[in-house]
Amino acid sequence: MNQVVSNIKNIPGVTGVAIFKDNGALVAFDFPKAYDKNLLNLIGLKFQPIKEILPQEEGEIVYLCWEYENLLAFYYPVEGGWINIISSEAIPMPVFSLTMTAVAKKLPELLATSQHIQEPAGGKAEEGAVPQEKVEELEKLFALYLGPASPVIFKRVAHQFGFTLSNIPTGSLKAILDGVTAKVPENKRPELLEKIGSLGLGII
Amino acid sequence: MSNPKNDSLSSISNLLNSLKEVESYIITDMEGRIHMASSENYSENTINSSIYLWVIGSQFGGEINTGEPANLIYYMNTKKMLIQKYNDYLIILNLIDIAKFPVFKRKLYELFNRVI
Repeated sequence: MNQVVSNIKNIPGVTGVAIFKDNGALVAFDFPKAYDKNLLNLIGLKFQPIKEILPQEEGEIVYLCWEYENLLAFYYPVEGGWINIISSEAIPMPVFSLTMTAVAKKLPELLATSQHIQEPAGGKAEEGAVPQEKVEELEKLFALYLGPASPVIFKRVAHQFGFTLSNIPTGSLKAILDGVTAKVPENKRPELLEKIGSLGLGII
Repeated sequence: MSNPKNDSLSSISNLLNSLKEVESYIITDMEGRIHMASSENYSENTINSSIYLWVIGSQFGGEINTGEPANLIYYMNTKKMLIQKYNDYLIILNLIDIAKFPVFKRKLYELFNRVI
């Protein structure tokens, strides 16, 4: 695994590499010292749902790249996990593509046998996350007031806050519910809020 | 009276319609409301996932002190997408297969600067 990290790090312009399993567990990294563990936790938590979230009909994703001022951040999915890479803008894309194609072939086997060096950040968040049965009850309730669009609306509001329906922290639930209930006709909102209150979420 | 926001969206929309590299586009706000689109055949999932990817990109940028991303490249086996923020809007562009990201981005920014 260290060899894979080193191969990616040798691409000109690359300053940081982190490799995660599909469950969000960190298995290898070589990040600049200026970046602390919170960043790796954030990456594990926020990037873990990407494979599920991306629309299947759009086709297989090769990579995502966020472009910042003087810096690029890549998400490169592989079978069994994904790789995050930070680089300068000067990264030679042909070299990147060649290296990553080779890495994508080798990595699934390594990921299957590698030990994680950091627990999935999602695991920590799930302890404080809204239980799935409560999320399902909310989904059913919203369907009564928002109709067939309700799953899209609920998901969308969660995404606006950087969460998915499976990792909403209890502390952020009220803001998300406020966002969803704002889409319900005003005369129906008190009734909906009363029903949400009866779910025992402890927030309204 | 005309609304300046709508005027600039119309200008962007006209610009996007004129670009041969753009196969289709959606202009949405961060709440997922569609303000302009090249066709009515857009996927709600694409809008949802684009919002999520933009938000986590901003959170990541916040952690590394670079702020919001300038754009997001979404490169798939079968297609290429570019997500660009403009004021409070996300512009989701589906590009033709032969479009080259660096060349297209340069062209787009030059044209944006002229029309906005």
